[in-house]
Amino acid sequence: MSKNPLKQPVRRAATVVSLIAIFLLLPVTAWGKNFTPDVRPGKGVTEQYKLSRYFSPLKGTNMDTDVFVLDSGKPGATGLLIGGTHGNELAGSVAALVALENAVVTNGKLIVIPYTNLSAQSVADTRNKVSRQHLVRSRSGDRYLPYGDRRTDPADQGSEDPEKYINPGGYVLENGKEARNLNRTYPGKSDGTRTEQLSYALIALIRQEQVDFSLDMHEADTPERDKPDDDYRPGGNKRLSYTLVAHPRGLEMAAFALLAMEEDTGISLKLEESNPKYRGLSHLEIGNATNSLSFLSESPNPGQDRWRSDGDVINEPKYPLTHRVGLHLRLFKHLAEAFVVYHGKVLKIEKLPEYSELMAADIGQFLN
Amino acid sequence: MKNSVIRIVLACAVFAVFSGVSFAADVVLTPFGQSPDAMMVKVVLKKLGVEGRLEKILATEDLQDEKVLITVVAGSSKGLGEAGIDKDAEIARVKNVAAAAKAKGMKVLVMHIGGKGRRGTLTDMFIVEAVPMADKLIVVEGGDYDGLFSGLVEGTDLEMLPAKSVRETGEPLQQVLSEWGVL
Repeated sequence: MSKNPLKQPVRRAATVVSLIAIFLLLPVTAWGKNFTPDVRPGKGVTEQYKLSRYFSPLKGTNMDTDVFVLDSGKPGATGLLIGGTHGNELAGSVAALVALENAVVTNGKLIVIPYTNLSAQSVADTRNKVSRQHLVRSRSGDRYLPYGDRRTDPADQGSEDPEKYINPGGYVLENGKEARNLNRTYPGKSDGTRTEQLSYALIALIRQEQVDFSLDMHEADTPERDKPDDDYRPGGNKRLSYTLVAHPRGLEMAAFALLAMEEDTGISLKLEESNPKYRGLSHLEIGNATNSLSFLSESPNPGQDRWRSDGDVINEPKYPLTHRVGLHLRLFKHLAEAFVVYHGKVLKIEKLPEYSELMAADIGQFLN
Repeated sequence: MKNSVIRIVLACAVFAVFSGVSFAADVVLTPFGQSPDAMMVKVVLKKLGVEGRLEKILATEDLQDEKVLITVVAGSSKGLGEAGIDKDAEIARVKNVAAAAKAKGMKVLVMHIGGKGRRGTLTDMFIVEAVPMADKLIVVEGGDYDGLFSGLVEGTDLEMLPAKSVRETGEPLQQVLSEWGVL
């Protein structure tokens, strides 16, 4: 078969262009084990490593997420910001990205994990079928924010879902799929499923790094209903968004932070205390298993409203991503301030955007 | 040495008088419905310089020499479950405590700070029981969205003080506690 010499350069160029396109899109389009989130650390990040540093069996798995450290080198408190426990709760991950791409710590140490359950982030949302990628215009151009699923990819779990899931604390969950829900598997098990091992590794990190307090950033459905007359509280006080859950040891500190939050942002959050009978959740188990004070925040995500189809998770007018990211970040800052008041150790974070700055701009302006 | 000790004691006394700080627990708090909202009020009090004693399951015999009982109304199924009591036992507990407090000459302040988000069947049941025991009532905006509190207060001498947010309950709290000799 004869070759057409004129077409060869064209083919070669097309191949090169295709490879470049694949390379550029890989971070946001690749699935499963090839998923690499797009994180662009700022000047404040002093160290980056894998979670498997604390539990080596995670090495090489899709659970081995990146850990970012912003260390002032000066004594003070150590805070941990946990984003992406659930892959479909975008604001937690983006709040963590905004922190590690902007913040500078001048006292104490901040540890940030933006995509805590990397496996859940690597697969598409199965609940509301929210689009996989969301384009924002960052400081360096177009950037895609990935939207994942609530639970670990079954392919990464290492075992079939049980009919019922009995978590490490002995709590029975009727839906066996919850075995892949990171926020039901704390404090984890070294010889458990991959998700239980992930919890185990996170607890190991908190112990080894002597984390003083942590905030696990979540999202829930918004207070909106399809029809204005629909009962806002079916069955009682079921609203989760705009809530801060605190381990009993951190309850007063949480109340202090919430009052500061109202003054700073005008956002009122409901305070809840960890239920000691409902085992497996981060805010309870981290506080029980370590010396750390543990908190969990919930912002309102239009993408989790069951009555919406593919809700706008970036620009929905009432619940824009800037509002939700601001909620988590300002809350963390006020928790740090409360920690000084109640425990006398300082975590001083500079260059975190103010709530008003976030609300006056697009989220991309706070991302590299 | 003796003079130094006297000077320190005097300085503390002067500070206590002029700072308005209430050292003894003049205020005891208890939730009505076992939600953590009482903790929010405890911190608001702290910011006013008042150390409130918070007892989740305050009983009549736990009352000391306080001047004021604050009960913060908001129902929490989870909280009741943790406390190991049902709604009827909770109503009986707080009613007994309020009656005992009044018998001791204490004032009773009822607060609802959770707004619309804390309202619901359970909370409403507690509100209906709480309002008649109040000497004063503080309600955060949204809590009376359907006029439940207004309806219960109507035709009585009970004063309902509104606040726009939890933080802003500081102002009516200060007013009430001043009237009642705590501040």
